Amino acid sequence: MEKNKIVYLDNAATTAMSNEVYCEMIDAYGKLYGNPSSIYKAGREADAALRSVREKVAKAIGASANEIYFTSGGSEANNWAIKGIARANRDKGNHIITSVIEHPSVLESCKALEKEGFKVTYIPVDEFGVIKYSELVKAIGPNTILISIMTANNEVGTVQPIKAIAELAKANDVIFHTDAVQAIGQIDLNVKDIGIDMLSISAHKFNGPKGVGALYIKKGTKIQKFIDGGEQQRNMRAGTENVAAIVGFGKAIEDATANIEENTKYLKSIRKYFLKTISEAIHNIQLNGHNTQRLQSIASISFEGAEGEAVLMMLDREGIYVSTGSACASGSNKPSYVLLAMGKDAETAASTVRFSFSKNTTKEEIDYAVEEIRKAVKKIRSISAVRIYKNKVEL
Amino acid sequence: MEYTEELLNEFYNPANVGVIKAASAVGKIVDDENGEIMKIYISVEKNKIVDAKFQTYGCVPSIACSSMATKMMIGLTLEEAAASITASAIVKELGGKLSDTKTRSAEMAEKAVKAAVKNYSKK
Repeated sequence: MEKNKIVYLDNAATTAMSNEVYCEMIDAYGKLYGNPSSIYKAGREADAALRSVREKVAKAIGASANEIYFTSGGSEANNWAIKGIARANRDKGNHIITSVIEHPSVLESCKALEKEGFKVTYIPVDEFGVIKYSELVKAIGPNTILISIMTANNEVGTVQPIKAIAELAKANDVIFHTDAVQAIGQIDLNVKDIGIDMLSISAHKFNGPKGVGALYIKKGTKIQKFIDGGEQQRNMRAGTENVAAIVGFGKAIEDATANIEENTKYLKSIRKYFLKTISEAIHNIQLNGHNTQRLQSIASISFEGAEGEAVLMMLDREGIYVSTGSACASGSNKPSYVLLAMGKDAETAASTVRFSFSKNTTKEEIDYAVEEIRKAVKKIRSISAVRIYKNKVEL
Repeated sequence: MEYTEELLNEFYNPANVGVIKAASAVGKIVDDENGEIMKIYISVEKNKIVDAKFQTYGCVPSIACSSMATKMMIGLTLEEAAASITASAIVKELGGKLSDTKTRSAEMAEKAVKAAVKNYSKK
């Protein structure tokens, strides 16, 4: 490994734009300057670009182009889906069901609605991060108007049984939304086949630009407008569209969903190699999440006796980028609520590091990273107030 | 979130790591909520702290603050240590800036110092 080489193992936080996406965006920034709502040629050209991307997004998830709405990213899509459905369907009921391990943009949206008088049930998860399905069944009632459960969790990679949840929702005449932000490009999602009413997407998770995403809304769904103002996007979401970013988004999603099977196969092999190498190099470690019902891009590991942020900063010095808890939670004090929800104690949660791979991660990078992780964990353990033991021998 | 150069240096090169066997006293602080543990060992002769060591299971600022606290303690009397090694004094030695969410690390170190002093006095 050359000196000063960066080994990026935080793809679940964000990804670098691919060269193809970058080039298309630069081109769009230059040429497509028009406001898509303007009726002269420059405007029509920008609008045509948007229509083309809508087709691409729709194709990626098995929807129709007129069911795709561009947003500023995943957080906005989640806010809109949850608040928009709740406020528009008050006459039908005031109960929402979600899970304890959702992204903060889902959880905080639910908390905000609770202040407006809505009731929210947060379904617990098991030790692998899978929602307790029987609790979900019990929770549904005559006042339930929305179920929002993420497709795949960003911290540990556990994938939820969304087909079963979609069927359950349909049987009870409840709208089903899924935050698919982490899943696009790794799980083949067809909203019609699965029976999903709304789905959130964020471009920067699959080599697209930051600040752009989409909400898929099934035709006929009663939802309130979230961003008020002009009548862009069929009068559903105001604001002049970020044309160049949307062009990048289109290219990114097209590429990401072109080879899901191949992509997943590669990620699986890299992840397997990483786990083998790291478990041989470092003792007293624990893998978090489900073994099979999972994204292959994520490996959440707890290093007994070594606090996560301390390990992260040691690795930072060697140009290796990883994450503790979720990216959004960094800077906050508390141990990951996802890990705590899975039954881990605060100390284990605090000693957890998330490694997330991409199709560009190589075995060479893994070898280099594991050696540096080994050294970092050893150093941090030597400072630690927590002593670790193997067969009653202090290590 | 930004850590100062001084804080990071202290974290990357901590001083006085370890235990003092047959220490005069130990100050142990546990933060259950965040899962952090800080231990400061002291050697006392004629009311003066002649040696101090620490062990910390915690985040970057927690390690840096406890390391700095041991450096500040050595050579002081027990009373001087308990009085002068405050969270803000520790932060000052580490570049003078620590975000709100992480001041608890400095506070924890202050408490560990006071606990060690108190435990010596109790004997």
